[in-house]
Amino acid sequence: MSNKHLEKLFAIAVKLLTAMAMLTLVFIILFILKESLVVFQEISLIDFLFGKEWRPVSQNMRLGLRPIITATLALSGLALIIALPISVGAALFLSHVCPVRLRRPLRSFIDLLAGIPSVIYGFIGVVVLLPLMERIFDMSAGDSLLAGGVLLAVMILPFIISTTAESMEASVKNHVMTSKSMGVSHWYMLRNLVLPSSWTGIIAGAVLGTSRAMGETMAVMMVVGNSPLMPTSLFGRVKPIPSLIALEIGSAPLGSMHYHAIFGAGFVLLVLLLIINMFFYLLRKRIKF
Amino acid sequence: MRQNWKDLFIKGWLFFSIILVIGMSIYVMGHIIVNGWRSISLDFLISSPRGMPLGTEGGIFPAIIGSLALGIVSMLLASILGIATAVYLYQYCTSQRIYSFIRLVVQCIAGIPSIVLGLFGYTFFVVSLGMGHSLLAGALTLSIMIYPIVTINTEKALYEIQKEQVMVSYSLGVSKSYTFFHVVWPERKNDILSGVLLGTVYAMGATAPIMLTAAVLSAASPTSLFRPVMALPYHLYIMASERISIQNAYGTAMVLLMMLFTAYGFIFLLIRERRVDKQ
Amino acid sequence: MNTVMEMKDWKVNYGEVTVLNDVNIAFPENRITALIGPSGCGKTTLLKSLNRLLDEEVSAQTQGEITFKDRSIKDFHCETLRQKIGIVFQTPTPFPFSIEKNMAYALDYHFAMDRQNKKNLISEKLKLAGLYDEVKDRMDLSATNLSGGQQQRLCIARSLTLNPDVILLDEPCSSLDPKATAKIEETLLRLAQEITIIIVTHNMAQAKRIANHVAFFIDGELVEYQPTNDFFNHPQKEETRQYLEGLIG
Repeated sequence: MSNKHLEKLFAIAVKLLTAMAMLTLVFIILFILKESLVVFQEISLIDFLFGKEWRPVSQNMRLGLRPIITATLALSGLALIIALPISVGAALFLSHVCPVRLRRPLRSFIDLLAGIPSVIYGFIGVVVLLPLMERIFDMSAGDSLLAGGVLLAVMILPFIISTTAESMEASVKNHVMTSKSMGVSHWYMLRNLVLPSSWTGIIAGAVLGTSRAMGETMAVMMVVGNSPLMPTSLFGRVKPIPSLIALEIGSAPLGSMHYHAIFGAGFVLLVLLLIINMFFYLLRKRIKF
Repeated sequence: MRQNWKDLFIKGWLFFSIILVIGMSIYVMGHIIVNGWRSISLDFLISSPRGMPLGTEGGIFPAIIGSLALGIVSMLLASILGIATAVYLYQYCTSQRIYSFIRLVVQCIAGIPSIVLGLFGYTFFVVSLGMGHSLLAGALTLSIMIYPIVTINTEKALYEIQKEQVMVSYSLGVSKSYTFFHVVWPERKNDILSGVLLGTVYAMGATAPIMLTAAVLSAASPTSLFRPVMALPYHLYIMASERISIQNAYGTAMVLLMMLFTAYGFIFLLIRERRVDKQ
Repeated sequence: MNTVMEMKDWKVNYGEVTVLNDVNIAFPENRITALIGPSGCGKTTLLKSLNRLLDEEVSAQTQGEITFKDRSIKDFHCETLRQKIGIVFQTPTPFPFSIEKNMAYALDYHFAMDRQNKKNLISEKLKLAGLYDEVKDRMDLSATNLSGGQQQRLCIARSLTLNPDVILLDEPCSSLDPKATAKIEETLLRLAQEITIIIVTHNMAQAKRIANHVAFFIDGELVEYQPTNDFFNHPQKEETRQYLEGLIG
């Protein structure tokens, strides 16, 4: 009977394709790991991760990721510091102050913001943010850690807002009426009930934001100057891991130490982000929304 | 009195935040639309880039077609994989352990930064498999990137079906595939399609995965899977970062943004149609 | 009186939780058997065991044996078994298409019938379910537009299209008003002349009205199983008496 054959075919196809997708992850991780391991024939893991200089093409080659990793962390940290208070404020507004009628359109509008391609943010950074910084801080060129942090902050806002607002709506739905019936002001309630009880949601939002910021390539690359220097001031030029990969892999000869070192950097980023994402997955599971 | 101070502070903070967010969003989109509008013309949309350096004159036609091609091919690949995974989870998987494992893997793929995917695609598809910079290599890389989006959205759509309806179909002795094609798919196809579409626009806007695998400065409109292509986001990146032509960069950004809005429009219609159906 | 289905030492676990524990019960042919007991005592799981719907659930493990016409249900092909044993759920589950397509759904899958035969069979089964007169002029109407009681009778009629030997019903009347309930009970009594019916119910009066036998469960264990009259008038077990009094008094 043809229905039986169809079922067999369909079941096998569904299972095979699912297995294939699962294997893709394993394959990517192993592939990147394999390409990275070559580096350690020449330098130790410690020297690679904490070496002070990244000079892949000079006579006296140095492959130390310290300035690169520091820049990656500094950029996402900076972005988070700027974005978090604004996001939490906006999320509180959306979940507890905003008239219900306006809530959906506003949320959709902010979600739309999350869909804008990062290269457009980078472009805005080049034509608006950099000149602005040059004027305000009297710099010769605006490319800097600060510019990257500000731009990243704008980009991760929608992600933090929607995660946080969702959990704020869910976490205290039942208590709002009780609180209102006790005659306390709305703002008192936000401060003493809503804010404290939604800290897991806020952390989940922050984690998601961090993961977005760390992996972001285009926008950051267009405004940070891309010099592999140790970030010492907000106005210095830096080069985080994604920029390093994007800008150097094309020119690194296949199979050279430089080439494998780029894979090493990619692997570091991959591991960082996998850890962060698993953490987010667990948090989200705990909040269950 | 102190209480009022704190209330006022909270109030100020909330309003400041939301106004800042909305204001910034409007500014970002408005800035592109206002400036982009000025640099767009029919000629810009239907001619190839010209001038020296390339791109200072002429248009972006091959880039528009290239982006559409990348979007469509990666959509096909990702939706086959993604819908299969979601259907497996919904209809076939009966072990809690396998279920959680697959969910975790999907989450992990979503966590791979797009530039690392690009790096993988470059070394594996472009170099090892010898595809070279090509539409296919780029689309394969993009499809891995959007696979989690398609999977998660499809799964969400499937779980909105009343579970008993599926069980009733099984208990009429009807196979799972027949149930999928005759009950599950007709009921949820709009939501599944809108999830797929969401992934597709995301793929069309991405730069990092294709700059190492598919996109080039100049190419004819794609005719083969094995040739490199132009793509809007990459073109915008080059125009802006090399400061080749800011005016054409605005135009490119505008076209990219319009594609995004069109896709969201479709998604809106797809979902609304379902709501109307239900009544 | 023949036994059509029998459970032997049947045990079901969800992970660590035991839902049914060593249940032994035999269902007589062409009779109505009612399963009663407090919520969460495993009645629904028992129903799902009978036509192997449990196979489709995440992390359900089973032990023991169930026979259908003296053959283990594991020896049947799943599809064949389910053709013979239909199920109707608590909430009505019409597919979101027309009444006619709902009725034709399983027929189209299993048989290649010509239009006229199919039409006749559908009418016949709708009559059997007592729904025919209400819907005969609007077979193209979406089934979701019917009332709750009509939807439930449609679901019964839909499972009848495959000529099942057994129909399982999981509290089919819990969301219906008394009038709609009466119609369903009428239908079930009519069906019981040629079909075995196993019904989970919370409604003692309903069990009294329609069932030939009543089985009482607590915490996944079968406490008492008797002909209806004896069950209500002379319960053997202390738990049964308490349960009946608690509900009645």
